[in-house]
Amino acid sequence: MSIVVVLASAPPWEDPTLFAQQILSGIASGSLFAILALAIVMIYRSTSVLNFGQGEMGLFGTFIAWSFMTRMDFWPAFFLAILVAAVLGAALERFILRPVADAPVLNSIVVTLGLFIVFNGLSLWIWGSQPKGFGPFSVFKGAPTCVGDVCIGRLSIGILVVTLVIMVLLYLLFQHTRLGLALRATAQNRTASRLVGVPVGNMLSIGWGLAAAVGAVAGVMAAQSLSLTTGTMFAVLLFAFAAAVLGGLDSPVGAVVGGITIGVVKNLAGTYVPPEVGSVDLAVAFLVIILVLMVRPTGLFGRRAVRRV
Amino acid sequence: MRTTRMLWVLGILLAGTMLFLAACGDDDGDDGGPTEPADGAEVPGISDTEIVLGAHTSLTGPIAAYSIIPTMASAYFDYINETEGGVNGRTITYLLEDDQYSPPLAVDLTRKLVEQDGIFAMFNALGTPNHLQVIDYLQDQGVPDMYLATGATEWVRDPAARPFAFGSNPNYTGEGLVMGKYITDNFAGGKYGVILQNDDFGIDGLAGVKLGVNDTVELVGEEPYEVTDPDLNSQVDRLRAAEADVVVIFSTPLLLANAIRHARQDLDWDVPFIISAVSMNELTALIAGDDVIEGTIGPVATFMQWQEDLPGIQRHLEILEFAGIDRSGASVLTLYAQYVAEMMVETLRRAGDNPTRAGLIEAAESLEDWTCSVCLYSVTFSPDDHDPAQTFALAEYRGGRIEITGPAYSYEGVAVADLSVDSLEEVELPEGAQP
Repeated sequence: MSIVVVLASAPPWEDPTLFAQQILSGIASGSLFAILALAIVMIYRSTSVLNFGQGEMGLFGTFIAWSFMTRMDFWPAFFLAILVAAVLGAALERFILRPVADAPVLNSIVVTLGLFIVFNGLSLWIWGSQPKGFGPFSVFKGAPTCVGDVCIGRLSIGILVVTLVIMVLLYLLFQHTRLGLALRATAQNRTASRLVGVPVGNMLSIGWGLAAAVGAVAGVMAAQSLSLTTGTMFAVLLFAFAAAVLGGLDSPVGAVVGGITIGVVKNLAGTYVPPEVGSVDLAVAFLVIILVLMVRPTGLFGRRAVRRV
Repeated sequence: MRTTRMLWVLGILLAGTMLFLAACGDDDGDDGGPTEPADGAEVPGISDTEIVLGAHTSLTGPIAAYSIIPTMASAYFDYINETEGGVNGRTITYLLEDDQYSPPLAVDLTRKLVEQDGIFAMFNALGTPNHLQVIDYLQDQGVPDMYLATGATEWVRDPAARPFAFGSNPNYTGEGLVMGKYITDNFAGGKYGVILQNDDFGIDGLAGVKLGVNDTVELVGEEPYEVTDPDLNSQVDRLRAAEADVVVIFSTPLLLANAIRHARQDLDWDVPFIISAVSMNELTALIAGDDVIEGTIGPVATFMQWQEDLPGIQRHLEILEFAGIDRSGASVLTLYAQYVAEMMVETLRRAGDNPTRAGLIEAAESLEDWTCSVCLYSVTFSPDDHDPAQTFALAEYRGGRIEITGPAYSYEGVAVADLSVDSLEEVELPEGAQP
């Protein structure tokens, strides 16, 4: 058995094209992590639960979108699937998570792990194990945009734009609307929120509904790039969690910065770190996360929660 | 005081357990190696009416798409049971255990198949990293490990050391060798790069490519990736920067399709791709899209399901229909499944009316120039050669289907350790292979 030896590529100043291309591709991969991270942040921000089932819920939403797309055009199917996912998310909160809402937070986490398994199993049961042909859809098709030899595809631009739009919408929702205020209040202190008249139950359902909708968007965008099978979201979920933690679990901007940082660092590490055995890009990416968290335990954009006891 | 007593009790329990385990270990040692039951002794998995086979395979999990292989193999056994009453008067029962491509699960499920279900033989266990964890257990238990659904050289490199293991795919070094030869013949003076799964699959394959090329072509990048990676964009970018004229990929369909899509749609890079037989199927085309995969080259060992005027393909489609699988589901994978299932049935037939495990091994080693009904070329086994499929052709995705274009090469009878570019002999495509 031979050992794989990979020489590090020429340094950035000698091959700026490669350097720029690696950064662009890193941003493209990273924005996929970012959308799913946004959904994770959405739920955490509004219910303070970490949802491990987020990726598979998004997958389920994507399969629903696929079913619609066999019957209608992309856009109506896309929005219909988002709507279904939102209703489903709200229903999940109401009927599955509400009963454990007042139990220790560990119970909720175990429930979300259960959601991971249930939604993956449901997708497999309903849609089967064979991959589905899924896009890219006409809006995201076409020749890439190149500057010199550095290129970015239409789909990558599309994913990046969708990510940024969702980020801005979530930011506006949380910071500049009464609904956002109520959502944040619910996450922080349910009893106090209830006392000042916030309909806490509804807020929790809305939080889950919105997160499920964002998850479905993440799934639809990811599937166009990675294809649609029951395994599609698994790889993305790991990185999305890392992105959310790196950015700070309660910040939409942090989720996007975190996702893109991981995508770029991973690519640069793969390109410039000369590994003796195998690939180290993943290890380097996670090393960066650990270092950041050592300096800023709440993540890059996370807020330190201060609670009076 | 109480704590001390507890410690004593624990210590005694621990010592007892270790003694017990040591004793069990000795038992295993005695049972190891080939066993020939005495006359009249019961053979596991064989009754008067039934032969029980089993496999750990992927029905769910990251490579669940390959579940069509065990499904089709089961269908073939059902068909033989129904139309011919099984083999030598016994029907075949095929137990499938879903390991989700997970090594720890494969270990548990293999033990269950052997120790609880009492299978006669493993058949077509699927997946390199997971089977690595059970191969020696099966050898120790003396369970025939027939026609593995993985082309790692590990299983077939030394039949004397692992007498119970038999391959079915072209081994990855062999297919790499043919790819290397193709690169030398078609890209002389050019540069090539290799993207590889960083385990036995990719490493065996890369070794083959290096054996197959000569110094007229230059290797400009070896790009490994881990199975947990979500995409191969970075690897493709580096090979483009290195100005590769052709790229070889040893990967599974999902990531491979993603890599080619990235090259074509994100980079507008029209480099030719040569891919492993692992992904040379309709799944990859479905995931990537026909326009993206067009022109990609890889090895194949069977005729194609759209060649409906061939009698072997007609029968294949009939069997699909018999099993209630939609005809449109016919693919390189269902054809592969029929190849291995037919080979198993033929082996059982040769093992005779009173099959034993040793008899099954002998029967497999007696297959010489045997050709399955959908195969391009024959396979040959012997006591020194457990590696079939040493002759295969190159094919190309063209207009939404895979067309067998050739050239075809053979290294029949050459052991893995002796493979070199001189082992390759160009052979004719069989009649009807080309459209």
